[in-house]
Amino acid sequence: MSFRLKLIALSVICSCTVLEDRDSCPCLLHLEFDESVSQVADSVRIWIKGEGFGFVAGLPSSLYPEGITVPVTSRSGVFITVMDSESAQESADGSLNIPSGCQCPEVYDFRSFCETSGETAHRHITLHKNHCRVYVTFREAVSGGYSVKIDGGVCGYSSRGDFLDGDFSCAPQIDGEGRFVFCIPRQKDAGLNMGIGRGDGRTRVFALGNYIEESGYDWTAEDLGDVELEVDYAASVIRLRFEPWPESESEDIVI
Amino acid sequence: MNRRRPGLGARLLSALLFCFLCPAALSAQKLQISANTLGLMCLGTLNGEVNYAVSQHWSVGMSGKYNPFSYSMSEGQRQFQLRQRSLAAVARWWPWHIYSGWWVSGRLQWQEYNIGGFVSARTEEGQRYGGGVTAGYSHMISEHFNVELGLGVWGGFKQYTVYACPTCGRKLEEGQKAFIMPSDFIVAISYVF
Repeated sequence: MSFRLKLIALSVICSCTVLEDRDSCPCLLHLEFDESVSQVADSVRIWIKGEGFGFVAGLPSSLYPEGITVPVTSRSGVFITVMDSESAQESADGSLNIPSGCQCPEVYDFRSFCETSGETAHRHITLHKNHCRVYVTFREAVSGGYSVKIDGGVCGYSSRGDFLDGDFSCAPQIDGEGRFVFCIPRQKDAGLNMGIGRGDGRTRVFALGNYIEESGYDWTAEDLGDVELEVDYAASVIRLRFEPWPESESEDIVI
Repeated sequence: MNRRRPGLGARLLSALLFCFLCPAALSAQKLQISANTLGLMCLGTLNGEVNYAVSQHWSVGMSGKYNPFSYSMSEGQRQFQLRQRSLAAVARWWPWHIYSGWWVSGRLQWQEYNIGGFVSARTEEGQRYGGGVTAGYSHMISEHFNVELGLGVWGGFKQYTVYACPTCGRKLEEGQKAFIMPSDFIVAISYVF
């Protein structure tokens, strides 16, 4: 090799950077928990999923203040799911699948995509109320004289928070105040129906989804409110109120 | 990513440095090349400087350093490194005569560096831009060979990132700030053509 070629070769070698190649390094994803999380969940379950990457862990409330840092090897972004542990008991991947005949669990969750192309990433976690509790009171008679059944077309959420289509039906419980209480998932349309049966064997089905929608209830709210129905069966009127109770006006719907 | 690469300019300068060494450019007692042996002992930093006499008291030249090496004491031990590559344009003033006796030089310098792992795992990477002065003495030991001794400082501003460890460490700090630091401890062998 000639002297000139050696010099050119040396010159090219010297053109190589001395900085560390960090392209293959994991992105350090830090999850920081809002103070409100401890009010709704004693512990949470965390799923982080990306291209060729998966992470699952539980976190007790004692560790919320320091959060958790996860080395993420997927640089194309990850989807983060955080759910209260009680609701997450049956979930393997962050989805919530409600078996037919069961109510929706009182689920609080967080679902978000996170860019991980950098060396570090950060997410502030706030759990959102992703269920709606419906209270039904019958005005003119003791609750025991009626039977109530709810059915709809959303039976849960996928791991990314999309609606899971499927039969949802449940029979409510009766609380200490004699109200029928049931918990339903977020709805994508007005497909929720409530069947009220009387002692004489007759059952009337009401388009509960329509009534709730017409009342101005927001199914897209980050935190779903609860709904209270007072049914005057004799007068064929349903009085509907929803959270926040003090500000909401009741609406009478003639059925 | 925060990995910074010098542009085409730096590569061209690097190439120019070595083109100075082409035999076609040589002429008697005009050109001097030197290598700092202390630099070489400093974790194997390759270095060289070429000077060209433009008058009896002045020479101009370029110098370069390159150290791409990382070390660890043993398998699994913490990595340490003094990695750098730098280029400088140099002007030297020789009070008595070029390539002989005392000299003072000024320089404009660019440096890319990746240093750390010595005291702790903390590593700093970045680019430095600035200027410096160096003073020293050149002792003739033969017709063509000199020994040079010298000390220098340089300052300017740097863009830096500090990591918790040399590879895949958590980023602790980044920014820009001024710096001043020693640049040269010279015990060099030089050859005068």
